[in-house]
Amino acid sequence: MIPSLAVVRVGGRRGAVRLWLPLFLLWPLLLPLAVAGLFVARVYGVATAGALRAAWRSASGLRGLHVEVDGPGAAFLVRFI
Amino acid sequence: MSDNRLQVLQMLADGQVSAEEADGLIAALDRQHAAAPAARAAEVGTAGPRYLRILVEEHETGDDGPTKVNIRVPFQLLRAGVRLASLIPNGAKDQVNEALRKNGVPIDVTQLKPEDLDELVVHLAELTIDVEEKDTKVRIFAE
Repeated sequence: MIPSLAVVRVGGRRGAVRLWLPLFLLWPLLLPLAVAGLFVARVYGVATAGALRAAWRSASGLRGLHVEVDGPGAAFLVRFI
Repeated sequence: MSDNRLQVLQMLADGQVSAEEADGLIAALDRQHAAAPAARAAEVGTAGPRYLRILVEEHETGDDGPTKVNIRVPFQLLRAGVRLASLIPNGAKDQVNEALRKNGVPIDVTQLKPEDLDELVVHLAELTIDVEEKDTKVRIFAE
């Protein structure tokens, strides 16, 4: 299943901004881009069914991805739920 | 050549099976061999480790404390990524091969098969790397 939320935290140790991004609202907006991508894939001879499957798997694979960097000057976190 | 394949050829030489039957048996062995990585990949997806974890810790360097990097990558994402390689158009594959050869990496991407890549990800699940230096500690493992 594709992730429905992303948590992004940007800032230092003295203060950070934490954002909860509702990806379930973003996915429908990306649909036209996906259709355009499929068209381009077809032009370049890529199997559209395979491209669709790969795109879905990549998006689904994002769920659980966690990247966190905590340094002296700045900190960053992104997590897909 | 595998023992099973040799056994089939021996049976053919002894006249125990016909050439058609031997062909069918070898084809079945090939199918079994191709299905094995996929089966192991499915096993990793359900029962085995689900994430590749990368931890980097730089020990005390200043007043504000150490730098820490914590990355957790789902194996499903790695598997999806390697499967993207099979979508590279044939014309582009030649260009990729050429670029790799120029940079001293003699890999033929036209020979990359999804089954092989699945196997690569499966073996990645057994990977554990621990590097500990004076001021830096790196751990890569599956969980």
